[in-house]
Amino acid sequence: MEIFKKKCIVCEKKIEKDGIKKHDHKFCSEECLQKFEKQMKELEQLNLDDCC
Amino acid sequence: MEFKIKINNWQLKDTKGGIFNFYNWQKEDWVIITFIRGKWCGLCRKHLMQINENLDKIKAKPLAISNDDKMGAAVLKSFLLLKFPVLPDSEFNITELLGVKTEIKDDKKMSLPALFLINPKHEIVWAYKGENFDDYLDVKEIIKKVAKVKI
Repeated sequence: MEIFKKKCIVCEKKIEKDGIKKHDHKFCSEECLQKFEKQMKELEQLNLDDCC
Repeated sequence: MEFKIKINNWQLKDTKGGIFNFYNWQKEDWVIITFIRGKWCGLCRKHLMQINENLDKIKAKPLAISNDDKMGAAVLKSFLLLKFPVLPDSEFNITELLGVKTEIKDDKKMSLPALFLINPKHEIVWAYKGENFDDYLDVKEIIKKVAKVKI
């Protein structure tokens, strides 16, 4: 029976074993976690009144 | 606008890699769907933060639909610590279904700021569509409107 494996939110590869759990998501590697956190940091730089 | 229009069940891929089924998620609750343009939009983030801070006052379950891709919607939800789902709709499936897709310059497509209040029978009973990109309804107005329609 094939066991369903969760996909990494960043690269969409199937996550081996438990992966890395952070920010309410699972990541396949430290590298993908860093990519995700980089986008979060980019949001910090943006002004709430900026748009479009 | 107030009216009653039943919406058929719909599904979208969620940020967890699963399928979000609207009827299954709604159960017997009132729902308020809000459309946002993307994580890069400050006004959209402000709007989501206001909803998140007033969850106990808005007497309906919020659901955000963003024009972001899956990762963008996930980043937005994590960054704002949102306690309600943010679904990616980068292909405008639900955005188009509910008639809030608009085209801006260079054929770029986005959703207008929009809210839909849906009763437990899956009927849209109130809708708000912004005319412009900054026409987000203030959260106090949303709280009042939901309370009024539910009476």
